Amino acid sequence: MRYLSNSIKDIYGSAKIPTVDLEKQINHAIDRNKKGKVSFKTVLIAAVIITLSTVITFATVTIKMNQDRSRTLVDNETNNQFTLSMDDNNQKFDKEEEQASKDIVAAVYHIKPEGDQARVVYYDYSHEKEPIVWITAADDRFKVVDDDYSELLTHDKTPTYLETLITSIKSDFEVLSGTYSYQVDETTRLELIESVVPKSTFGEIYVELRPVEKQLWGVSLKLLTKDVERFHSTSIAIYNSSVFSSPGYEGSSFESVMVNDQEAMMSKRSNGAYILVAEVNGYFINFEAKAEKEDMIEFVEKVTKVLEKY
Amino acid sequence: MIKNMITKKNEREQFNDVIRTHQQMIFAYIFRIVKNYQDAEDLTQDTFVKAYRKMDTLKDNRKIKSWLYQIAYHTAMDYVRKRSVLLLFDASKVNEVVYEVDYFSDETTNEIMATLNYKEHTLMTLRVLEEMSYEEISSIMHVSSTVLRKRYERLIKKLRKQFLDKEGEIFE
Repeated sequence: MRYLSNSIKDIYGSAKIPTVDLEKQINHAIDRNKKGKVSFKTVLIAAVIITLSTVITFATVTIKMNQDRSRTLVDNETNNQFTLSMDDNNQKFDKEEEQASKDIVAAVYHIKPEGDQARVVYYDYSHEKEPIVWITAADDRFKVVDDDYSELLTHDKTPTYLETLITSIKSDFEVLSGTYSYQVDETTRLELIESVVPKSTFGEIYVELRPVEKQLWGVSLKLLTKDVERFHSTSIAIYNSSVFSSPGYEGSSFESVMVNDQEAMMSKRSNGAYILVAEVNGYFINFEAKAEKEDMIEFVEKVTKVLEKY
Repeated sequence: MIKNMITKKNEREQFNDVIRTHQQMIFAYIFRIVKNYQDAEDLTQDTFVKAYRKMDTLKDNRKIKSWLYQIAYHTAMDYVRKRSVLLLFDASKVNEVVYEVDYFSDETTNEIMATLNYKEHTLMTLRVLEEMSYEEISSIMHVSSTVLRKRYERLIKKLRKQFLDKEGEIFE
């Protein structure tokens, strides 16, 4: 029997707790409380009236992968279905790639960030196509203060839509921080894979190589609302739709809503926040907030109008 | 009372000092219980909003830490109870949710610490990290100091056994 050199205090105190700065958010919440209770629905609405479309509500959901790489969400009780398409340069994939695309969904559910190390998601199936890999650097965060987005906006990997997007949302939000993901070449990809294998948690690495013509990366912004009555705990992520985005996970309740006359998906987190995922022009928009659903849809519609031009 | 000692004008500034000084402490405590960043952030925010509303109840500024812990403890307790209803789990099984990442130095520690319930985390935080007396913890958790002492001893025993079973090692 060997005695650990550390005491229980050292062991319990060794947890790597993220650093927070919540002063602004707390003050916003205090101001909101002073103005009165912000009411938002605590239960998902069972049905939404959609112009000329069928209303779909899900209880327990199964996700099916289709040959054209679309995903179909199936209500296990009623067998109602909703299909989210993925238009990826009109590519048709063979069985090997179809299997790999199934792994993508599984991989999305198994992303395990390594504490304060880079969060790495790899997808691998090569079939004589140019390799491209997603790297999300979880620790590469930009702090933007007031109107000074210079660091985020002038990075050489910045997507071209970003400045326009931030300008369009400035009336509603202040950007607190941003993260980005970017394309790497094969040499860098191999080096990163080699470096991450010994560090991967739970022994899982999913690697994908997939050709994409559009900008292969995404931006995630943490937002601070300027209207505490409408929004709370808000963030938005935008990324290339070669990686499927789900507003929830198996077992979530999903709801179909209309965003600029296109179907989008919404679900609810256990903390009461809604997640709305809409696809536009090859991008997924993932918007999360504690807010009225109508306000969420209105805001995402504003964002989709920006992205439609890029 | 403390609140009466400060003018309306700098009341918020004083409270912002409280936030800056104690937010990390409260966040760390709540994070260990809820095991994910988003919920921990929300609950930390809720704690300070409640604290602001209850500033009149803080009689002695020297006890602000235990006062905040008391609010955070009840906030976390409400969350755990609500979540156990939503998940339709036995409340004790809520802890089967593991940490999002390996926040402790090794997998064994991560797994063992993830099994602690919110009362055990509270006891560990207040007794082990903050080195509070059982009397002080009693005022936070509303349990007698005698019961707390026994709970702590059982908890340490349980942790020793778990470490021993997993790795053949124990701590002092």
